[in-house]
Amino acid sequence: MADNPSNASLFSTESLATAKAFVGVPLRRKQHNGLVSVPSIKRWARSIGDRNPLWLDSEYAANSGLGHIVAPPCWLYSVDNTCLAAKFPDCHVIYGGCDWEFYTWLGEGDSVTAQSRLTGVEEKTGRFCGPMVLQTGETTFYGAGNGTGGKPVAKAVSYVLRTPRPPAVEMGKYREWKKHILTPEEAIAVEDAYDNEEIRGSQPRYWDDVATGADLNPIVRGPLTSEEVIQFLSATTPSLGFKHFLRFRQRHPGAAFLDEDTGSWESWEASMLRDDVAQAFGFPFAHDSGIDRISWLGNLLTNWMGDLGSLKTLSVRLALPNIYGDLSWCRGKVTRKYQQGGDSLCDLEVWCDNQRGERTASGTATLALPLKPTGKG
Amino acid sequence: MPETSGPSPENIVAFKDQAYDVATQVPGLDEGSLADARRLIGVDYRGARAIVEITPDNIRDYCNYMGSENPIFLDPKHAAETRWGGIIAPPSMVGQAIIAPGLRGIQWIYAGIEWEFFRVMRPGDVVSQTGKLVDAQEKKGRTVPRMILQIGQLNCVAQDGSPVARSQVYHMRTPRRQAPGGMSYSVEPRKWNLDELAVLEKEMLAEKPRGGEPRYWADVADDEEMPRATYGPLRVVEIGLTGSYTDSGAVTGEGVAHNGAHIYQILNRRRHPADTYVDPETGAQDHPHRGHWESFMAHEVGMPGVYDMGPQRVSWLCRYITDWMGDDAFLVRLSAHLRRPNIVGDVTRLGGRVQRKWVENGFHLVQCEMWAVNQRNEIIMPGSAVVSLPLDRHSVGEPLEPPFHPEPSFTQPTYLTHKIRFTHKTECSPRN
Repeated sequence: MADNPSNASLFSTESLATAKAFVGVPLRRKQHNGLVSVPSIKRWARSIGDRNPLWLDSEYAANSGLGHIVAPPCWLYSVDNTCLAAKFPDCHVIYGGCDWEFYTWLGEGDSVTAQSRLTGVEEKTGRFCGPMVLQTGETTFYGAGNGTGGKPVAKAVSYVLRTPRPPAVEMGKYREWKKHILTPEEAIAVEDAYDNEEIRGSQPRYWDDVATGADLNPIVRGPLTSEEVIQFLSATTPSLGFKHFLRFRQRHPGAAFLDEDTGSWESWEASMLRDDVAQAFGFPFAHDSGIDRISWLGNLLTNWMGDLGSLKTLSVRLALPNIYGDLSWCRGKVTRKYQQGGDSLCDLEVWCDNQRGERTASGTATLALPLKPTGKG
Repeated sequence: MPETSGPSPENIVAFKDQAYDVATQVPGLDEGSLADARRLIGVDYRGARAIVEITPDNIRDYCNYMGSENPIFLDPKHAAETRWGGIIAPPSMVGQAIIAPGLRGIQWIYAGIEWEFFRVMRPGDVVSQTGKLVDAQEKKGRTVPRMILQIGQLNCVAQDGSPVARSQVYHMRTPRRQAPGGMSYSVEPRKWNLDELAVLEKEMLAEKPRGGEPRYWADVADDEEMPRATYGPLRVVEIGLTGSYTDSGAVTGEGVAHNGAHIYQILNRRRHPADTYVDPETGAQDHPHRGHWESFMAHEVGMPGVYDMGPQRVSWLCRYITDWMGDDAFLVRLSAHLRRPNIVGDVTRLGGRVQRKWVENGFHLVQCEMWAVNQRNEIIMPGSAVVSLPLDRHSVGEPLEPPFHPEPSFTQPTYLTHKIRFTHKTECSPRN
């Protein structure tokens, strides 16, 4: 290995060319949920700490104007996690962010399919590991049920970083990080924040009443523990078990490493459960998947917009690891309001800060809100 | 919303203070413990209430979690050609709730289950589960001087009112390592080499579900040995991230401890203030079941390392017997008892043999004894199954599901009386 990995490209022209040849080719993906079922929605919503009755309460949803339980927009991650990575078998896979466009609600009984392709392979350099590759991909979700037949229901453009592990360990970007020890007082303050979370629900948030520059009521998620990680991944994108994993590993040897403790193969996904595995690719401690944080920002927005609002776009970039013990304060601000194509829209900035005040994710969103009824009384 | 129902606002403050008072994490058992463990006997138990909606998606998830590649569960085209006319769900997916109320801060260890099944489950079925505690008894353990066994019963009924399954579940309550009389289990960890792994992989890839080739009762020989199946070396990701079906609630998102993160964990703690064990590295309240994926908590429980989840290990036996019996068969009974922990890195081999075949009410039944053995040659899970098979090729298509008996047949828990005597070699070292 080069003494200073940031000066030497670890990616050969050949490996880059092989990866680029994949651009545009429809990818074979293992889809998770295909059916928009009430259990899959409930399970997913609860795994992100979402208490909106629009996804959880059949009776409430029946009277909501939508007529039945619908899926939170980011539930589509449980159909395909949009983590599109191909080639570079020795590199880690880090989800870097996503640009979502949502075209319609999906409701119970609908079904969904997804089609994915890579759209770009680009060499980058960063403080995390020096040279790395950014893979950009596009996943289009198609409805196949009541009223959505065959039409695209959403599109996700996702950004995945492929990072070589030894240089990341050597550069040690997060070497100084320590786990935060939550005091009982802080813990109680966090519980207060959960208790005071405002879910707008049936009380419409009218476009007319929204002021540019207004802050959204923040929500908190965490402190991150294995419970949050396990429940989110289990509801979103379960890992392969036993013989299914064995077959997968035979096709993708890079997906596993030899575990020193057992002498046997383990999936790199263990880095979300074990500090030592996270440290083997340059992260400080066991961490979240990143996809969950984007979903929490989706939760911030659906809380705020109420049942008559709709999320049009959500675009988030993940900036820093979210590690066990960390809190994520999810916040937002209205940056613009305007009318376009018959919709009354708001643009927003959204972000996650941890308890150290570091911004672990940031992005933008566009919402459509209802107009105030014009009639008096 | 049911999620927010719970203590009143003024009580929440008290609950929060109580929740962060961690002195109660490692109590021991005392004179009052047995009475506490028996307190809810006969009461409709909230923690057992669950609804399992069967969908092709959660059948596939469950097969991934249990390690099954059986086409009767996974391949609609294959399943359409069978007597069931489409895919069915693995029987153990019906649910196996934890019924272990009381005894705050005393760890619960899944100890086993005995099932009776009455019909297959298919996509579209909605199965409701209820349960109650029926007994609790004090026991002596190998690694703990005193523990309490709690026995529960579960009933699972489909949307049309038809009974789907009935079961008796067993949970052992053991004081944690630091408690007076706490559990302290130790084993020699095993490290594998690549040659050994290659042998294990070859074994696993050679295993095939019987599938479409019927297993006729007439052809089953007494004492016939079942082909072995291998699991392992066990990985933490397999326990934690393959679906975490710790009980049926995981499929449904109904209100059980494992269901929901963030605020849902807090709401669960407010109902059950003892369902917590603070992580000293983060100060965060966390669920004490996390010894299934975190070595710190596994150690605190008294386990030698990260240990598997009982219901998942039991699902391996379900996969084993459904692989053996083929599509043209019905699983009538399945039981499994967890005798020793299964630790990350352990290799488990499942074996079995035909113990008995008989005819009852015109049904052709076969009983198999089964066992799970680890690389230390310890039987970690004895089990048994009763399977209903077609007599011979002339009886294909005749019903296989025996009639429903309103009285459970496990009024005498076999857990207490069943001494497993294995006549066959259970040695588990890799074959060459």
